[in-house]
Amino acid sequence: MKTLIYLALSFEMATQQTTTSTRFKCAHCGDAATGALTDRQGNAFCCQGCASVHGLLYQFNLGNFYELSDLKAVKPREIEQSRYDHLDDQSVESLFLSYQDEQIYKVSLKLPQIHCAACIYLLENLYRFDAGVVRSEVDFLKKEAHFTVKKQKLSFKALVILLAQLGYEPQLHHGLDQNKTVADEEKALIRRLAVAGFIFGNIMLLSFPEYLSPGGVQEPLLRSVIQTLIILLSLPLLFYSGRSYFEQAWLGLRKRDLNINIPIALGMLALFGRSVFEIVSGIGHGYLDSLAALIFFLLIGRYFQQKTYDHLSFERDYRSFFPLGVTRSRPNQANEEVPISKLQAGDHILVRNDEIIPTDSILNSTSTLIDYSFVTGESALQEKFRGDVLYAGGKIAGPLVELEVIKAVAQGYLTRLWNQEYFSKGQDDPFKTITNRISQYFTPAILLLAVGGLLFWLPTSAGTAFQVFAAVLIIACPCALALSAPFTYGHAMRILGRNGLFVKNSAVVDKLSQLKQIVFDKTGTLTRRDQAGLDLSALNWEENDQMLVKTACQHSTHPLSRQLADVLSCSVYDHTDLYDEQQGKGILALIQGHEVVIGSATFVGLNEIGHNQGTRVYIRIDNNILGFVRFKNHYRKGMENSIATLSDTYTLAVLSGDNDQERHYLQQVFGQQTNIRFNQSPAGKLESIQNMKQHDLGLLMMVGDGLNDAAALRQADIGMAVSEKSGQFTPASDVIIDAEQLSKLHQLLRFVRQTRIIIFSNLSLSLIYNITGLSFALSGLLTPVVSAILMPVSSITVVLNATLMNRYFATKNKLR
Amino acid sequence: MEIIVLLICISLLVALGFLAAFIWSIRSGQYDDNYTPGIRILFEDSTETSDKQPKA
Repeated sequence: MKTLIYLALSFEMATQQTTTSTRFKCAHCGDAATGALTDRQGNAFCCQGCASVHGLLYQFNLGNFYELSDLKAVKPREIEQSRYDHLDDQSVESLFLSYQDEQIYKVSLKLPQIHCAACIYLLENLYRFDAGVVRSEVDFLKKEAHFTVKKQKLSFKALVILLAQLGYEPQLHHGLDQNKTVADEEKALIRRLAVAGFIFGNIMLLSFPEYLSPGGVQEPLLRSVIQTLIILLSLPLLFYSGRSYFEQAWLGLRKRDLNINIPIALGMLALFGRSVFEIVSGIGHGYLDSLAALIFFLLIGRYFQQKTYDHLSFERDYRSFFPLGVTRSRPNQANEEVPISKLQAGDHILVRNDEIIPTDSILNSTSTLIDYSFVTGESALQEKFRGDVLYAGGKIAGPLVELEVIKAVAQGYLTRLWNQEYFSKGQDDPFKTITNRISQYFTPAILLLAVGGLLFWLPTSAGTAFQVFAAVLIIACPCALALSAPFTYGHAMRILGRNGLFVKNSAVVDKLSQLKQIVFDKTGTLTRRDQAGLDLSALNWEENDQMLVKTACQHSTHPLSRQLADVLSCSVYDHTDLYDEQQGKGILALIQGHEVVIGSATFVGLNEIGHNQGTRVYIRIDNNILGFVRFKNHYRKGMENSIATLSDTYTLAVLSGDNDQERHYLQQVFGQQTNIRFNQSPAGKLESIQNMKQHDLGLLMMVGDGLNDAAALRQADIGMAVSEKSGQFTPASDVIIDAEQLSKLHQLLRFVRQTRIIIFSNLSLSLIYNITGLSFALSGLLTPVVSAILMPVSSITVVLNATLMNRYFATKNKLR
Repeated sequence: MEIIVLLICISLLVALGFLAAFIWSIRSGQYDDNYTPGIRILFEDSTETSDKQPKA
């Protein structure tokens, strides 16, 4: 009875749906579905993967998933289990496992697909799918999950396969925990900050009687206890919380670089020395409360500018782009999975569709197509034949191929390029942050003033002279100055981050604000990588011709033919009389009495004419050459507008790894004077950047996305990597921009330029405070109360000013 | 007045206790993820109600 109702219900629903709309929505991922694939309840699915996950979820009582989900569940990809065979290798496994013993293992996996509450629900209920899972815990912001698993019941490989089946394919790459050291540093900073805050509060409390009446407590016992406690408390303050300022000042002195930490360290020492002297000799109460406030505020500023993006990595190298393992075929033995580091010259490996060639090798199969766009920037697929050398980094587009390794991974072309010197740009960046540029003048000026004051008072009274000397150092201690940049840039980083531009650190914001030149890559940056389309405009054909071509293309497994068949929306003929596909040349078919030839120029009977025009596929029907199909680039929406605005302020240039078929269009968009270069190899791009830097026209930014840009990104003053989706591989860079936001680049950069206004207004504010304070100090009138008021007030105004002005400029530039 | 000295020392000790507790909480990773637990607590434990298939 129940089933009957069920059936009737689902039937009714099915008819309802067909009458109201012809389009179905996949019940799992929300994509459009054809309606051909439904389950017994009438839910439509877009693919078999979604249908099986949907079924699994109900089988294991996890229907709650859909109540939580935003109906954009992850679409499970079809997976080949053999793809993960290398995970059984002990050495590979141990790269990932954070702990293991006889019974269990623990592992943290990066799952970039995590995007909603339902994902957390599903992954944390993983134990219902497999009893081997003891515990699973998701860290949403990091897009990570931590698993504890019983070894006997569920191997690491099986766990990865289970996750992949549910649509959460883990990102298995080398070196994913670089963020860890950053996190440790941040924890250390919080500890210092906590200690400083604690001491600040307690010293303030103990100093309270002093604020009420200038003599403070008169009772001798209580007075000495309070003063001892204050001095004791200030010791960890100076030597634990404030230690890094002394270290950096010392480092600056040794490098003969007058950085901002030198006057800060001097001010701290003067405050501490003078206070201890006053207290011990019984003259007064000292300024230790001011010292605590100073260190506390400075550390807050430092904490604030340390914005980290957990889900991004700015330091990836080529290894995280390559697969971990690969299938090695051996004569007379079963295939085995080996980590790519164990590959040796002479090995035979199998690479499947969509997999990346791990190292330079020779093709052993008849032919294949390779997508080199990520390595070279060229968008068209390349066809390779038996015996051709394939360079590492290309992606196979087509059926499984066998390769013979000619070089171990470490000696490959890409790897060598990567390991060259310019990749170790590292620490000795000559760029000076704005604060340090100012302190070049500030520090000597302060020292001169202090010594001048000392010499001026010395003839009158030695006591006042030293008092003035210390007072100048104390009051000139550039707390507000040092806070100005961290707060301004810290805010700017947060605003930029909300708008899809992720900056590595605050020094990069400083650099960005002074940017003069921008160099763009084409493929994947100006154009969309996933939407390389076909240009059919050079074809002169009618409906019937299209039907013939589509029919012929349908039989082919060649990706270009498949793409062509997909693009044509006409119907097809049922019958093909004769079909012949010649590898690497083209298709010949006989349909409805017409001879249909699709392929290279020579294949259709044309003389090869200037083959530098991108990949062209010619079509001939009977004796009539209809024209050719061409790969076309899809430029990002809004890019033209953004570039037009950018060209008002910056010098632009384009370096493309692709051929020059788009020259005309690009020259139009960028203006005729713009330097646009095509056919640039990775090394060529690097050289171009080096040349541009030699002309010294100001800071230069390279915007790129692929491995081919990696060298140029590092060489430029600022490297900006374009990321199509978060979690995707981006080469090492200073800035990562969400591809969707690239069309807003002009707004974002205008905002960054305006941070300079904020910085300068803050500098004037802090200078006014310093001059006011100095006039107190030089006239010998600085008292603990004046100092205790002046220092926090100046810091707080600077912080407030930075916050408010950042907000103002963000709204003005229509940023979130 | 001696009693105030004693009180100051005790209050300092209490404050030190809180500081130690805070540092311990950072070390033990309580601040590592301050987003997910807020979502997790909203999940239903029981699954009986969620058996039924939603209407397509």
